[in-house]
Amino acid sequence: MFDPKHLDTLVLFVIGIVSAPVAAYAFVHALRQRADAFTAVGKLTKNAWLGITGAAVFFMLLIPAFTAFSLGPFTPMFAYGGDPNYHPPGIMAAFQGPGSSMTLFWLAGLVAVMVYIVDVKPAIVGVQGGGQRY
Amino acid sequence: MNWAVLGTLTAVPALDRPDLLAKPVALALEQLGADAALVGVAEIDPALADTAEFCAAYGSPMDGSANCVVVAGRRGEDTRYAACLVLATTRADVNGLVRKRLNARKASFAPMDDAVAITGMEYGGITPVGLPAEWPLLVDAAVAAAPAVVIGSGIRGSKLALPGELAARLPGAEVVEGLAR
Repeated sequence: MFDPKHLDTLVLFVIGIVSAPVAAYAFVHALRQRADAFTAVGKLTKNAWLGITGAAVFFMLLIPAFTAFSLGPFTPMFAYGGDPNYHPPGIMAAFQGPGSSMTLFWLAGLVAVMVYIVDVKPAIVGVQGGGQRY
Repeated sequence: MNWAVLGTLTAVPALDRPDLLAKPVALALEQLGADAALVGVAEIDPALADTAEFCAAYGSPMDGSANCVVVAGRRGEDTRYAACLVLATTRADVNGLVRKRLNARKASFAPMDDAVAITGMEYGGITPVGLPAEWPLLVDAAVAAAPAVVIGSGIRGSKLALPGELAARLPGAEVVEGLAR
């Protein structure tokens, strides 16, 4: 099923699966913080981060989920023999590289979510006395 | 007396209603002398003490309310506190200006339990009047310039109104340009 010629696709697929719930977590986390914490640490406002992580959820979770739902998540993904007209079904269709139209947004969402998780979240948790708020 | 900032509420001179003031607040007002007459108090529903709900319920403008934020600065084992007074439409730059003023390595919102225990005021009612004497009170320039602002009274069941100019010369107060963003 997993043709080694398409190892890059497999890697993308795994990143896509793993990062989608992380995006949802980032959005929910931002939602639960007090608004003045964001200003207190000199980051963008709470609403700005809600918009950014919300858009990330849209492109990383909702679009792939709807695509998988409408096309069937477990139809063979790597079964095509290099046919350029082949459109991969299932969850992959949403971030399939050039031609899928969604990859760029998906990538931007991934970067934004990582910025939130590694930079913004620790700062706003710290300014609230270090008490973790999930 | 310009207490119209309280919206639909009717204010009375604060020292006429000590039952609407937390103990340290009443004490500090008495020490203000003649200035205390500039401070009005009005009873509110304690469930509506949060600024946004208070403003909506009583027709008070958001930019006529000032929030008092207690900040804890840490350097090693040492914790120093400061209070920040900023308009409710703005937010304090805790990790920038306040942290530098406290000469702290890390600045954070003081945990509510600590703030309540140290000030003797209620959660949600913390006010710049009657704070511990050693705390700097950083007043944003926009608050100092306001004709009148609504602040807490130390309890959730009432609000104070006073001229911004008086807030800026409360004991320990320093006006800080750019405190709020």
